[in-house]
Amino acid sequence: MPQLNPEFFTPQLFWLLITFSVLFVVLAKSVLPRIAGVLEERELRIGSDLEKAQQLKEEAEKVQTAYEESLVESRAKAVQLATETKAKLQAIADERKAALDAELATTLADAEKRITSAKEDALANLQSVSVDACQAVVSKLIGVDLDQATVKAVVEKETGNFTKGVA
Amino acid sequence: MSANPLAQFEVKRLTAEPLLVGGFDISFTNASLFMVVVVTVASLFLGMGVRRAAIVPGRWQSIVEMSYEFIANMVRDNVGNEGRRYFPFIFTLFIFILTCNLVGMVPYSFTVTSHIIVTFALAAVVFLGVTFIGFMCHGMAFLKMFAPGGVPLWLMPMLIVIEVISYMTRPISLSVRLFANMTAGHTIMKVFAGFVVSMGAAGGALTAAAALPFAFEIFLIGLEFLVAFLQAYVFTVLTCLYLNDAIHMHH
Repeated sequence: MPQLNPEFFTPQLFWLLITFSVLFVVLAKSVLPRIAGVLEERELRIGSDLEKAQQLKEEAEKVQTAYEESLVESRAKAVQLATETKAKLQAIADERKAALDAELATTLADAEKRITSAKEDALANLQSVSVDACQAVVSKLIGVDLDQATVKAVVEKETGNFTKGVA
Repeated sequence: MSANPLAQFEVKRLTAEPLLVGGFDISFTNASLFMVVVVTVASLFLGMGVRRAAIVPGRWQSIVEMSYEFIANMVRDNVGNEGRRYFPFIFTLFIFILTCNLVGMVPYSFTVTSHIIVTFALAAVVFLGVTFIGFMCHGMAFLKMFAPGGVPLWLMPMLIVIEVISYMTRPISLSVRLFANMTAGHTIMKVFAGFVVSMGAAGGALTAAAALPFAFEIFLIGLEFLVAFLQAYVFTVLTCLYLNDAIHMHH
């Protein structure tokens, strides 16, 4: 077995010492600190990123709450506005209706008055026509000229009953 | 390449003459060359991976970070917070062994960790370091580790002997485990590769039958990659456990 040949023990040990020491120095002084630095930096970065994300999340939640609050508020305002408008419009409508009612009532009363007077006029005309007709009928039938006042009294008596019935 | 499956473990000087300093042979050999290759590859791979470090890592950077976190978690889980000081050494140990094992998987290369002197040197450093840390942390009280509590007095002498022996054999088991795994794995791979070649060259039915060792060779290569990772992991975990024993003295 070549491994057990002591001839090469000292050169092996010497070069092992040299090469291992070189590797140790290179790793310990240069490579390992650099790796450690990268890992640390990454950890810090991740930590700060997480913190930032948390902060942003809180902010977003705040905005969300504010939005919801304003939404509720505006909804209430809208309902109030609707109620108010409705009441106002109702008042206007009521007022106009009342005015119209009053106007209609006046018109109606006038019309009734006119009808009544027209009827009275008509009845009055009817009396005079009846008196003339009676006088003419009596003179033609029996040749007696009745005096106008007598006929009028009779007609008035008769039509008084009649108008009472009509009115 | 020699057909001898052990030829791959031979160390050869790359210079004509041995390089002697103060009576010690420190010749640059193929083993030394591959140690240099391993360190270069590992440094470049890890260094370039985080050269332009990004917050969102690419694939390469991810692998480097994963290896870092893998060992960092291992140290934290097994040793606790006191282990942070030793993290650079443990990381270097893991990367060195893993890269040695993986570079050894390249055909015609040399597996540095298949040499007992290398693995033993690493284990000895771990053993001496851990013992030193134990005495640093607890002073002479560290010796209590060899005398577990709640044991009848008459059993003590025997138990102390056993504990001391088990403690002393740690570097041996640690180094032999890695060395034996790498040596055995590479030897078997070589043996089966040799079967494929010799059976394939034999002609006739044997050539067709060479598919069997070939299929097994593929399986072995997959297994050897697993072993390469696993042995680096085991070596490192055991180092962490020994370190934990020294720092916290569980008993």
